[in-house]
This record gives sequence, structure tokens and C-alpha cells, in this order.
Amino acid sequence: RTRAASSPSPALEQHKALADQAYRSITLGLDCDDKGDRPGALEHYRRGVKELKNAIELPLPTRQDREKAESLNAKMRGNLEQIENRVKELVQAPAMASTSA
Amino acid sequence: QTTAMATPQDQVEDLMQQVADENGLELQMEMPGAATGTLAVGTATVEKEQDELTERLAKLRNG
Repeated sequence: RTRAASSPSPALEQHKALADQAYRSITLGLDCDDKGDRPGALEHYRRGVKELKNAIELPLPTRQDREKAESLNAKMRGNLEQIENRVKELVQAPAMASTSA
Repeated sequence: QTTAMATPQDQVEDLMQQVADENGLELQMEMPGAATGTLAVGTATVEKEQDELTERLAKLRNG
């Protein structure tokens, strides 16, 4: 960590930064969801979905980086699927108090 | 540490890395497009974050 050579590659740093960004959006969405704020949840979830995809699809030029990113990518793919399902549920569910977004 | 093999460029980069380490900063010298001054996120941290999301999403389904 003290030497440039042993630091993670810029691509991996970017990968983690994107994952972190997605985490923040989805956490905000979950907070809204817990409070019953459906429009807020949808907004943050949709942003989070885009950010998760950006992270998962980030090109990693070296095999070493791809191997290091594999575990995180697998988790993100699982979460992406869950959130997309949740978004569908929220969109389809009736009993919206209003149509305001 | 400094040997006859080290070029001035290496030394400059080492020094920059040293300063960055001392201040908890992340250098992203090779990526001009990246936001500079972004704090690095640890691999373990981002993986934990995703685990946390998985748990919360599961609770959402069960609750």
C-alpha cells in the first residue's frame, strides 16, 4: 500500500468507486422504501440500478483485475436482480396515495 | 531503497505516493478522466456494502 506498484490498479479503483456510489443510492432507496415513500424509493433505486450496471459493465483490461473484481461483481449482479424486481413491484403495486413523483 | 536503478520519475512517483499515504489520499495519476481527490474505498468495504444491501433487500421481501 505504501508503494505505487502494490496499489490497486486505476481500473479497480474506479470499479470500487462505482460500486460505492451504487451502494449509496440504493441505501437511500431502501430508507425511503422502509418509510413507505414509494416515489423516493423508485427514484433512488433507478439511479442505483444505473450505477450498479456501470460498475458491473466497467471494462477491466487485465485478467488480474477481472479476477479481483469477480466476487464484488457477483454480489452486485445478485443485488441488481433484487432491486429490479423491487422496482417492478413498486411500479405495479396499487394504493398509491397520489401519482406525484 | 533508492538504488542506481531508480529513475527520477520513479522517485517523484514514490514521493507523491508517500505524501498521499500520509494524508490518506488516493492517487489516480493514470486516469485523467477519474474524479481526482476521491477517497479510495477498500475492497473489503465495498463487498460488505453489497452484503448489507443483499440483507436489506431480503428483509424487504420477507417483511
